[in-house]
Amino acid sequence: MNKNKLSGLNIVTLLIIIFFITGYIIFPLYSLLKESLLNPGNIFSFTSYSQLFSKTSFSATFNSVLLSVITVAGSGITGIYFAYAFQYHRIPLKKILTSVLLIPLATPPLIGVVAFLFLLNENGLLIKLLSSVFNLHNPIFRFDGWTAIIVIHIYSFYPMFFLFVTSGLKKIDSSVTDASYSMGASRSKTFFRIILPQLVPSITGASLIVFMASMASFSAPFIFGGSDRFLTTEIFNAKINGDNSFASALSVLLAIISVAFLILLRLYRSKKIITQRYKGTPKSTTLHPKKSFGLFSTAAAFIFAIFIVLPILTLLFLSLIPEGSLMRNFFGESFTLENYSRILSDPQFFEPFRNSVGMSLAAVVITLLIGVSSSFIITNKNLKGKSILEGVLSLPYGIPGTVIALGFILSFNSPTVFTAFVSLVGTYWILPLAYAVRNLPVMTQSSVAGFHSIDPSLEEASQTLGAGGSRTFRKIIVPLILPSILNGALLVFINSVGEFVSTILLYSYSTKTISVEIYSQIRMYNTGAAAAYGILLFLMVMIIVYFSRRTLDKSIGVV
Amino acid sequence: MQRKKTACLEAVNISKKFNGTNVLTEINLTVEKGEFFSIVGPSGCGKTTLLRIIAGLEFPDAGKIIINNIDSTGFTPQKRKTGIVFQNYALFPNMTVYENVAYGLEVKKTDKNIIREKVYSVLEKVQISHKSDVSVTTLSGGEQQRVSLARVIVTEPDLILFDEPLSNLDYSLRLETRNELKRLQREAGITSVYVTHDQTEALALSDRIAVLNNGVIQQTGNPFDVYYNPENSFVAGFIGHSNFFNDVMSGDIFNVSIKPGEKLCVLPEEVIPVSGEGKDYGLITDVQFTGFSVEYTVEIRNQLIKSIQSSGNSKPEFSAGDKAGLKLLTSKARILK
Amino acid sequence: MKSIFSYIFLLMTVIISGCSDNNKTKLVIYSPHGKEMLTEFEKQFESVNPGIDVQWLDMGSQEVFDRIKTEKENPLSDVWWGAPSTIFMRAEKLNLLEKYIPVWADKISSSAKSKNGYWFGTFLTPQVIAFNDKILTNQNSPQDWNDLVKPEWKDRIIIRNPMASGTMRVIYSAIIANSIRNTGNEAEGFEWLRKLDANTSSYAADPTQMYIKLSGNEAAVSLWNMPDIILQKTLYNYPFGYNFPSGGTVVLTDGIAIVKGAKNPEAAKKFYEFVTSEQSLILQAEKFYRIPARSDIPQDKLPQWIAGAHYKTMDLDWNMISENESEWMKKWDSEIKGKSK
Repeated sequence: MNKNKLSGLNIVTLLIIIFFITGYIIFPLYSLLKESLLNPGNIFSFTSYSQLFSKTSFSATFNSVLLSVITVAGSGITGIYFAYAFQYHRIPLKKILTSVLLIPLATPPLIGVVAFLFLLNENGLLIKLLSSVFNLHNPIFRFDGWTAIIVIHIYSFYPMFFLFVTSGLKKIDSSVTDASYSMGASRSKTFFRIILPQLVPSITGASLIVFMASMASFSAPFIFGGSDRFLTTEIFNAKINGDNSFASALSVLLAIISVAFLILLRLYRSKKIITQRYKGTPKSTTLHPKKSFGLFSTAAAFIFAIFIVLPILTLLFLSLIPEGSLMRNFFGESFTLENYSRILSDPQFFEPFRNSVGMSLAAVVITLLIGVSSSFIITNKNLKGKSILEGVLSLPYGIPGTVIALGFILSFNSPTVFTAFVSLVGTYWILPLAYAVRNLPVMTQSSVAGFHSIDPSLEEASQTLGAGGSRTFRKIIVPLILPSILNGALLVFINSVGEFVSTILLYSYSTKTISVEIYSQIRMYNTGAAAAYGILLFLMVMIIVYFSRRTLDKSIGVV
Repeated sequence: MQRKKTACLEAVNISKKFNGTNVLTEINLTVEKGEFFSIVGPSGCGKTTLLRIIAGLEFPDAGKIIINNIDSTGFTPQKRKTGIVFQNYALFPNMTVYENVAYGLEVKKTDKNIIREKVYSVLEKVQISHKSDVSVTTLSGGEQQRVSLARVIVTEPDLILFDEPLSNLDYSLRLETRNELKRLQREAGITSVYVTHDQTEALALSDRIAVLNNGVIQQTGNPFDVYYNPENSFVAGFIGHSNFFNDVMSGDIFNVSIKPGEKLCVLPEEVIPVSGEGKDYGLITDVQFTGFSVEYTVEIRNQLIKSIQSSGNSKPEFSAGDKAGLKLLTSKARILK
Repeated sequence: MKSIFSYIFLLMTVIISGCSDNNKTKLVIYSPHGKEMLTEFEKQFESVNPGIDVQWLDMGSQEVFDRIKTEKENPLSDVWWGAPSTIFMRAEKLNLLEKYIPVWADKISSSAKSKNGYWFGTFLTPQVIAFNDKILTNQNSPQDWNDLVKPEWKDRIIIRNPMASGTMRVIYSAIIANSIRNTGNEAEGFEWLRKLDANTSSYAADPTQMYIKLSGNEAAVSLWNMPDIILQKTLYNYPFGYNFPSGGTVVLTDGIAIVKGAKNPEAAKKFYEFVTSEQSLILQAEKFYRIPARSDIPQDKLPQWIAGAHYKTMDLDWNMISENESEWMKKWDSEIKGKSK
């Protein structure tokens, strides 16, 4: 950006952004903080915070942090390994495998957890299969507690590392690694001394997202946690127990931990970041000469791909067997479309789909408006306080959906300035707004990355050719950041369309979503119908991802 | 410098600081209409900053930029009729070759048919019309270079600014493009300001050259003057790769007497290694045969002297390790303070 | 670019069309009774009351309580159909309910209704000791509460996560209340829960998990309500059997109430009466396995499994349970759960 002073339009935009942030991020958090400082008699007190120092709260905090650290490490190793292998090794069917490996991104957490449940619990498909193959009477292993949560977390979160590191690796000039090899460095030495340090931005970026997501994760700890405590499940318990003040205090603690991690990582990154400007275009990366390692990677990639699709196949299987036959020896059952025909015969079948899609699209529009304009301001070098703006905008990622929903309920139960003087609770718009707030960091980060990737000389070239600011923005900048923005929009959509934890607290009759429908089927023990809904949701997301990718690839040949 | 009515660009007392350090100090330049003017200097001398100030992409802390007798100092790039050819070409990756070139005309709301005509005529000129509908990302470096040039020429600017446009090309392509650039500039007659660190390029292309070092103009003049009559040792060293001799060496070796503190400045082609009685005071440390020339490096009193001679269809007279003296081939050796 | 704007336009149309409205009176029901039962009664009720559009939200009773509590300032529901009496008692105290006395008010025992007419019982839910009848029988499975804490059942008991389950919260609280009644303090009750925790092999996150674990290849035992056990066995062939604890069991009363500040109180009353009529209660018993709380329903019109169920009801102070449940469960969660491992 040139030394343009903030024009009138920019000031209006900035005011809108500040209004949104104050109303929908800061105000709900403030309400939460206020709630946490009130004891049941509505009197100001620190009772709830003193409870945080109890043994149980401490163990919940410790477990949550430990779980997040393990999740980051596990997802990191998995994601970096496959990103590296796919970049440097000969692996057949690379394209298809890549798509398969990214499936967890398109799998809503609720569906993922339920699918794992029916795959791996005592009566799960895999356990039954193994038991019948080896003729065992007792299940050969138990899938619960920490192992289960970590496996599910890695399953859901490693694609972040895979994506970030893949794009990081693409930026590394192969001549640098070639130089290392030619100096006699081994594969591992080159990886640890040359490649890894250059991946620091990608890895810290992914770590941040995964750490926050893991801190905020609810479904997996709730279902598999057993008697282990985690912050999110403690918040749930406190809330169920009617202790909103303690639930709020726990939420505040969780938010503080996430934000502390964010700050820590930012500090580390600013010290470690390595940038190098190459003259000329970087050469494409070369394949590693040793083929044997490629063989190992191929095997690993295929086995991992099977692991990725197994939960989905489980769901498919469950949706195709008659309700209740789960308990019989279901390998003998014949497949049927009974579950599908039952849910399709519901006259309101399309309602949840329409709601989920409509509200997610609304969330996409909101995040587009706020996220893109914010990133435009963030990337404008000459603005003071932009790092505060950036910090506030990444806050919601570290706050669990339950907490955001709680903040929304507390804030918008009565009319406010921010809600055009209506009470938002129970209305249609509260859900898109909650989705938008939760996903604002995703959109902002994607478009910030988009803005950063634009060579400043393009803008200058346009200016010297006589184009004004708005024309340059429309004709040059927008088309160039469009892929990043559309990618961000796609992520926001996927995250919203299967969102469960905040939806369940905020939905009303006219805003039932697919995830609410799945939950209510599970609650009434209709696993087949739940699985059928899950498969339909999964297919819908996959189709949308497929078509948007295709349009993306078509519209612009550059990334 | 005398002010002429035909001046296309005048930079008056331009100064610029970045974070407290002087990047440019009181720069004064005048570029005549139709002239090919080069700014040459080592990396970090401020030449790109000067170019960006001329284009309006940066603003000077002090001084004026006058384009076509109009004070344009405060003008945004859009308001100046200048075009830039960027080092990395800065082609819009979201557009085809045609769209890139047409962009500047569309901005001016030119009639579509006229745009078409003009764009094709320019693409013809730079010999890339056959790729008009191709995405620019698929072009080779040389082709991108030509599109970048066409994009600027088509808008018929008062002034074209070149920011090291050839530095990303390989050697032979660079020579080829250089010739073409010169041809196009002459045909179009557009005033050009060309920034480069390559003095050969500057000498070959320019009508006049300004040598810049540490943000200060060292000398301005036509290529011949700058090469043969450097005003200071920086210019002599940077443009001509001259050898320098102090008063003692100058007297001892060449019998040229200069005052203490002065330097005898000798271009590599003005000195030749010789052998014979009393002449073995030097040592040939390196001989490089490049085809049309032979380059000797002669070590005398811990100083390395460069000598370049036309190879003249014969084997180099000396080889590394030989003892030799030096002989001056010119009577017009320069003496610099 | 044009295509993108047309997408956005399309999208806006989709969103706005989602907000379409009609002129009917909207009656919002919060209920844990499940999609099928709710759909059934929505249809039936709407067919006799065409001017009313019944909209129900299907969620756990604890979630209903939470919602109504948070919506206190701006009530969004009219009828709260279904929750244990203990939750209704709390709601009554928090002034969340509207007084309404149905026509059948005197056809119900005094323990199954609010003294002040804020809520009334609809169903009775006896709790049972459920077991896997692939391996166990009515004879060799636990017969009474105290059998459950015997060493022979170590790691064979599966419990639905009590913090999140209304049923389990009431059973656990009843144990404490019973202890206070018998010994004057909570200690014995908590000691019993401690022993139960030691015998518990796992806490299931939701009922389905509990069913699956209970029906595995182990001789597993659980605590759950009788109608659900029968329903799962009959509809989905789960291998379940059950015993009524011989010394007396906890019988939950499930109720109905009108929400304070309901937007459509008249329609709410109509719905209230409709779903608690004799005809509806019989249908609920037949189709959805609910045992009516009204004592005036002829036994011969009810299904065999209800008529044939003979159990002893534990005498409990429900007010005390309602008041102390949160505190007791919190204590259980922080001091007992998982501590014996």
